Amino acid sequence: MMEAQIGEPLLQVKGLSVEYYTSEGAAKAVNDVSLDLRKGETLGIVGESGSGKTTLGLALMGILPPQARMTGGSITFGSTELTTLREDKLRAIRGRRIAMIFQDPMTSLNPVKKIGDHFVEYIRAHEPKASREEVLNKTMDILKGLGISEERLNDYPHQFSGGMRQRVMIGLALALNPDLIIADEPTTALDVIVEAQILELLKALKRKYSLSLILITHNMGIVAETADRVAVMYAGRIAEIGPALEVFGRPRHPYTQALLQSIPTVEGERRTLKVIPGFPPLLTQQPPGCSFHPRCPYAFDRCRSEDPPLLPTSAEGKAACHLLTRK
Amino acid sequence: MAFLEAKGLKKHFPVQQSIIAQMVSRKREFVRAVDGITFGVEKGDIYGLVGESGSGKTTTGRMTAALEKPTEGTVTLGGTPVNPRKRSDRKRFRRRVQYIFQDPLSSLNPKMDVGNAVAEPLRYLSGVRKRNYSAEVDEILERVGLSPAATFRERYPHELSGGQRQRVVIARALILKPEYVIADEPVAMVDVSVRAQIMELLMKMQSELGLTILLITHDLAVAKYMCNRISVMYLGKIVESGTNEQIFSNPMHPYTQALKAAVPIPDPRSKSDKKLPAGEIPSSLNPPPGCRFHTRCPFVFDRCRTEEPQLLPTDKGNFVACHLYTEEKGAAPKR
Amino acid sequence: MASGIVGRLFSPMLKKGSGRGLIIVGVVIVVFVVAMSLLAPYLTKVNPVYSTGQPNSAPSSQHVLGTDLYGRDMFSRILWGGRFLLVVGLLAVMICMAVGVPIGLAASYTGGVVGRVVTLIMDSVYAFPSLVFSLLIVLVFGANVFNYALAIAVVYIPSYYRVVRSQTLAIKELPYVDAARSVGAGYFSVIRKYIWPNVIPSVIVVATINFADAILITAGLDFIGVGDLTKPDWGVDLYYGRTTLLSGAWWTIAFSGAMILLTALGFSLISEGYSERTNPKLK
Repeated sequence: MMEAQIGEPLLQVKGLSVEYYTSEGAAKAVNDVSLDLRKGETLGIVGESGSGKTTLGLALMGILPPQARMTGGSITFGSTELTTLREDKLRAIRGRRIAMIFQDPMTSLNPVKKIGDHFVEYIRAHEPKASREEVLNKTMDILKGLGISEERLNDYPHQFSGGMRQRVMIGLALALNPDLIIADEPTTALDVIVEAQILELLKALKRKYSLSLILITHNMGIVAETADRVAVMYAGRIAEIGPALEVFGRPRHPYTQALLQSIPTVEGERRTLKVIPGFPPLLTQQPPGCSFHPRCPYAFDRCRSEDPPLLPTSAEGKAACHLLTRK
Repeated sequence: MAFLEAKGLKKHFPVQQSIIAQMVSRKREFVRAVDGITFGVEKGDIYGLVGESGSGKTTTGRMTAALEKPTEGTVTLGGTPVNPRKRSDRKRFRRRVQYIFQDPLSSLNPKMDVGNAVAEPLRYLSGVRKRNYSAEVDEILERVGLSPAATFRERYPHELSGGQRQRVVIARALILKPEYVIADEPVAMVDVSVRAQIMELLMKMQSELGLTILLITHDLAVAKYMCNRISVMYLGKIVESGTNEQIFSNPMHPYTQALKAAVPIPDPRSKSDKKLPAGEIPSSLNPPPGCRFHTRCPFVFDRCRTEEPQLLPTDKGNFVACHLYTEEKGAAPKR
Repeated sequence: MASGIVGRLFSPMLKKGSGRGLIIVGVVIVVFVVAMSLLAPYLTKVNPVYSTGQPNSAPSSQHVLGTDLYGRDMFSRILWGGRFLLVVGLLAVMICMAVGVPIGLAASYTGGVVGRVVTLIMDSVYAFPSLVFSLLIVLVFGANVFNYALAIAVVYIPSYYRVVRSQTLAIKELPYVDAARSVGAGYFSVIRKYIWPNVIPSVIVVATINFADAILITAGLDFIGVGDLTKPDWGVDLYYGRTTLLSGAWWTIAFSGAMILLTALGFSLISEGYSERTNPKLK
């Protein structure tokens, strides 16, 4: 497997679709999603409920739940195609080269196992020849960088606070020197100040270990502050994607525009927020054509019947909106 | 005197102990959720209680709604105490005060349709016994934007979107036209693109009905948008209190400053260098001695470790509980 | 309130959701058995109690399912044989619900010392072995329908109590109960409108298993020869069939045994279906 050079594409997703099978029929959670991540980059995937962002993250790791199935597309990591890989080869990549951090550390950590043992078991699973001492040394190195002191190796998860537990999760993610970390709502369950601490930590670790990062969240603020590139998802599709400065500075998709005008901020003047009518569609009740059209102030006929393709808006940005083809 | 007055409010929750522990140890352990709070809300104000977990803001809100009995201290609404002894007084109180709970999904009975859920307050508190309250229910449903009311009346909570559910919760709270409403994290569990709708709705209802609102939130941005006055809480105490303008343009308490700096801003150009306090919020079982924030404060000095600062007024009219502003040696330090 | 329960039983049954298949199959079976038992006098004119043919004769055009050792028509006995069991089951469930559910709701919602004392009492009764206890009651007080039902009910009430209690304890902490109180709902209103409707599915789970169990216990007691052996009853068929089986007359127990199993299965499937509804298995 070739190592990708800095700036070269590390992960390429093309036309990915994932369907869920529920008692009410099949629902497309991810619909024809394409994006790339370059080495050393932080990609922020932002969306609300029903956007498909979490399903996308699970699909990238190959850990979709049993009732979900990938129905199309490819995921290329380095030069390896992940969708056709056998489970044992996939397991070698998962954890080693791609690691994932979830929202609630409590459900990812074994409550009856000491923190130190978590690391030992995890590292040994991928490097069976490593001695316990080697593993513990490595662990302590990582934990020091995370601000967790040595004696806490013998503590159990419930003895840690929320922020500390998330640091442990990050530590585990780093334990095998992955190339890519996928973080799904890593700070949503944390208090504001701890959240800021963890984000600063992620930024520092990214620089220290030359990581690439995919950050999945519903919080536009976090994405603006941490991501180099941003993908805005709505109802399973990518609405807009591009460099953070472009997406925030000059959003081209009405959803992005409306969202940015509707969220309150701590800085600046106390302004009136723009209200977006309606609500995000349920997976099983997607409107025809562009899924945002019922709420879009610029919707016209074509929007109601035809699904807009992702079209370039600039050298690096794309948006899926029929307005781009007008004029 | 302000419309809603809380004086010296305390709420200590005893920690559950096993029977043996109770017999053996003499000391009872308490979670000091709220440890001495005094504040007042003027009629018609939207007053924000802002804090992170463990700050005691929700417990305070619940005490002002008589959902929780204070361990110490008093709460009065328009002069009358909030936890009256007589049952008829309690009923009258419930008509004047309503509570909007945090999670719309779990604050609605899954087996009760919207029409019945919204009519419940009328059934118990309006003093009018009718079979059918659909006229009043329809009116309030239309007012909160659930139109046409007739279709929404028959729906069940699981058939609605998060935003719609929150509107139902608001409708239920406002159907009796209360004077005082406590809104506990009204948009935390609502989709981002729907939050503006709900915030606008609350503010519209506030001006239409002349409500006094106590807004409890951890989200500073929401507080900035909606509240006229704000109190910032940390580990059971108020650390700073003032108008919206004062708190956001010139936060004085180091915790308020840290809180404001920590909030991520949706603008990639403002990559500020954040000086964040170290560590996390200590447990309310054993709050730090002296100033509760001293273990994390970048400006800590000796006095902070031993003496608890009082919430004192400044010459601008706001209040702050920090020794930095009472030190003889000089003016308040810059950030 | 009775029609309310029936209405709520049948319409949500068909509601989409996990467990629906199990519930429907179970209900079909139960309805079949109940209909068969109710319509027995119309479905056959043959008397199940008196001999109407050659003893131990194999199934034939005259006796579709054969005859037993006394020459009684098996088909007729199958049609009539479920009545006693069903009535016992029904009575047992009714007694349990009338006693166990209100106590469970009140004791759990009130909480405190009262709750703990009642739970202690219920736990003690729970320890009784049901079959042995039923046997005792029936032998001492007589083998009529009511005693059977009572014996089974007494031992089953704690199960209802437990289920109602666990649900009530969970529900009473939920915000919507708090919300109900804050809009002025009193003690009984909260229990009636907020707690009970959300407890019903779990009660159905217990009630249907109770029914299934009651059938098996009653048939079991008949099988060991306790009670009135003259009545047409599937369990009684098994009692007599034991001896005739050796001579190869399988029809004397096969159909009766199958009916007992089928009826118990029907109720069990409903129970399983509702259990799946309230606690969908994580796949």
